[in-house]
Amino acid sequence: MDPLEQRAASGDLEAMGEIVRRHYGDVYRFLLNRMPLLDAEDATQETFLIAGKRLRSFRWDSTMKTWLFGIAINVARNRSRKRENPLPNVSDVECPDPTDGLIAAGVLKGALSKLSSEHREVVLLHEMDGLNYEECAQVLGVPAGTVKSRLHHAFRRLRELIEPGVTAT
Amino acid sequence: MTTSDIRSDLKAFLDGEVAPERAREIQEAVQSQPDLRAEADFFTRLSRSLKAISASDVESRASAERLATRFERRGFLPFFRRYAWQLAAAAGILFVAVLVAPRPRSAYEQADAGRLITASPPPAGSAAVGGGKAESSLDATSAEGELAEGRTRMGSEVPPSVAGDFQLDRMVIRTAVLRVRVENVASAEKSVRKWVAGSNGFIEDEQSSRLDGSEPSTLFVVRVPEKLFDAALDYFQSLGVTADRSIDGQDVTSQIVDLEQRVKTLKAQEETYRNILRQARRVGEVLEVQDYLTRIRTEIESIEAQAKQLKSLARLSTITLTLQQRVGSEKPGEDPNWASEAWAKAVRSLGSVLQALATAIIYVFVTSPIWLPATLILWFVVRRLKR
Repeated sequence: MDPLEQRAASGDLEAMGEIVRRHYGDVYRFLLNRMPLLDAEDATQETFLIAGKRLRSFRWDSTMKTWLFGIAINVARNRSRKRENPLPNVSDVECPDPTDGLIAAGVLKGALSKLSSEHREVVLLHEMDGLNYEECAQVLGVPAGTVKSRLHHAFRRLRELIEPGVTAT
Repeated sequence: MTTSDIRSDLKAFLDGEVAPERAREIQEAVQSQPDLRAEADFFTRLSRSLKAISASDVESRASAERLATRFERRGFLPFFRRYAWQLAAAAGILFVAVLVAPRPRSAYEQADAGRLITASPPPAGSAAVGGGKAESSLDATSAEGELAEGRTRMGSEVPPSVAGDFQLDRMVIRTAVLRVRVENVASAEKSVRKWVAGSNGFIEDEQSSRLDGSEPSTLFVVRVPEKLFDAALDYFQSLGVTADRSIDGQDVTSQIVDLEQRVKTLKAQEETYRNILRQARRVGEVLEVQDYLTRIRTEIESIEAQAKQLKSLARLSTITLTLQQRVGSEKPGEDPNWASEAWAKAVRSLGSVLQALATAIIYVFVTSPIWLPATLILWFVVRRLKR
């Protein structure tokens, strides 16, 4: 158990300040993958303010990072609901060069936007936020087996969308 | 194992999320089946592509610092939040202590208890009615005693045995104002001083006037032990003829009990804050708790001073005694200085008349802007009419 996290969980706001410094970047990037740049900063602040209020409810069955991601994902969902035209859940960062063998960003964004929200979320968590299956399960509040299954189906669906002609049976 | 089973675990295999034995099986299948290999290649490429578009190098330190500082500045707030349980527990204990602690019996309750034991038996007529009647008769006696209590202090109607019961722990501030006309003020003063010194009291204030005139007088503010209050009044009155007398008694028992109770409660609070102070870690918290402690201490000392003053006033009664030389008007024939007294009175009367006259002139002068123009106009009009 991290002493800093323990202090923060006991209501020490100085420790919470340190938690912010430690995890702000992760949460910001996490939200940036789900909303535009301008919204992401507000959403990050909102996430930490909510976390500050709910610190006492933090249980030690997950890491602070995944707990924060759990809050952030709800913040992102709430903000997405309020938007008239939900934006694609990928960031507006520079697109990779297609010549290096990677799939073009525009194609990826288009394919991701056609996934169900459950499948898209698990893809973002695992591939873009770098969480393993267990951590994805903690953030989403589902068993690890469900994460594995959703990821499998999401990738199959993405292949169907990106390479329609070569989808295996 | 079927291709479908392999395929369902392919993504997990690529992510390193399958058991080693299962991983070997899938590895073999991928190598031997081109379509599986193609799917694995696509998944790997897709995964790399997704990672490439993720927001991985975004600068956010400045925003993080701002938010962190915002949290830290709110650090002073959670003092009560941090010690919420301790404070709530302390408040609860105090509340229970106040409820459970034996309440000091008021003087009335003590007097009631004493009276029930010492009260005289009820009249024969009421005893014949039964137990209930006899009890109400006792109550009636008590009520009567309470009504007569004020008079007890005046040293009158109530029998000594009942009066003694009521004096249990009773704190009464007794004051009297007395004006006594004496034959000779100087000798009466000496007597007063001697008596007060012998009674363990003291003279708080003394003012003499007209010592060289026909009516010298001296005012004493005398403090005497409460038990000697009546004796002091008797003695001072025996020095001459009593012209005025007023006696007052103020029961401050409940006030003192109340003040002492407040001091107890505040001391309990003070102890609680001291415990909190011992646990405080930050300078801000220490200063805050010390501020509370200072306020509580000031209040305790103020209340203790009030209680002390009330007790002091109750312990030593106050008599304001004016000794006045007798004047010839009481017995004109016997006063050898009647002529000089008459002269003095006449001079004083003349002074009063002159003062009244001067006052009238001032009034006339000050109000002249009102009446003078009207008078002048009237005078002018009358004069014209006469022509």
